[in-house]
Amino acid sequence: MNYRSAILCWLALLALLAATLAAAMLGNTALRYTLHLSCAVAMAALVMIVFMRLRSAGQMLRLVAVAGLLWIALLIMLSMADVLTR
Amino acid sequence: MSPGGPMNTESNIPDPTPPADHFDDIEQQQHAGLLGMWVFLLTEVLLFGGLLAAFVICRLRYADAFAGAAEHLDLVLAAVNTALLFTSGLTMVLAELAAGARRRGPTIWWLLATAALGTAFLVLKGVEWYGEYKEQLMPVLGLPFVYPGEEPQLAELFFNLYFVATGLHAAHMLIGLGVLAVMLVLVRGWRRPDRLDRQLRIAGLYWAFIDVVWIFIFTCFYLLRA
Repeated sequence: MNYRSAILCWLALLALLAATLAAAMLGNTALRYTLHLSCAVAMAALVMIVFMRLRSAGQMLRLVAVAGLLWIALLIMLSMADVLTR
Repeated sequence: MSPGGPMNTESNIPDPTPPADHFDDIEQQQHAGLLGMWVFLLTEVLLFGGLLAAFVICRLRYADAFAGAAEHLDLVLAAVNTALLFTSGLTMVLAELAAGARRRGPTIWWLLATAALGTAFLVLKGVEWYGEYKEQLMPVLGLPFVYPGEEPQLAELFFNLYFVATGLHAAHMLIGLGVLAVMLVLVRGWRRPDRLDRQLRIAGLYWAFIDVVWIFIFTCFYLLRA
């Protein structure tokens, strides 16, 4: 981690925020929702990899982070599968 | 010899704090501290994850009503708040880097900037809540809920979830500001800089996690509108 990567990450976060706000003008389309959710995942990933230093973290910390992601992915996906297939 | 311990003659920095008794070395102690915070943050994922899952289910089942209710939220204020939070994430990392370089002054200034940005976020959030209160869109504490659109019961469910999510997030911001205040006092004292460096890394994890939670609150509640 150095000053350069921190500032680049911040600029990328602001660019993604602008992109997701611009996508809001696309109307009620699947593309718009896909862009919103993709930008959210990209922003969260940037914060976790750079600001929370997962890029330089050891295997154990990465495993904990992946466990958290897996847990919430399962929770959301299985809940959605239930609602969408009724 | 300094009162705080032996001095390194070249840099005038006190020698690093020895590890606590139950650790082999300082790297193991630092790793344990970071791992402890990550595991704590996983329990926070359980808390916010349940709320997010509830929102996803309702958003899928009552798509039109929820998309319509989201129209009543202030997207501009929320976008400004998101930018503020990202900037505070940057200043927190800069404070960590300054502490890592053993520079007391910049560490204090970056921490102050982080606290100021966090406070600005909460002030804007308060302004937004007040606007919703005035529009009678705050179905909490027995306040009247007068919804101008269709399906007011479902809109009330949306606003209930919204106030629980943003309220819980604001509570975490307040705790984060408390942690920053403690770190500011410790950094001002500047005893054992190597220890402060490790403590700031752990505090930084919590602060960044609040950013991650906000990203999903912002996307789900504000952006998924009609």
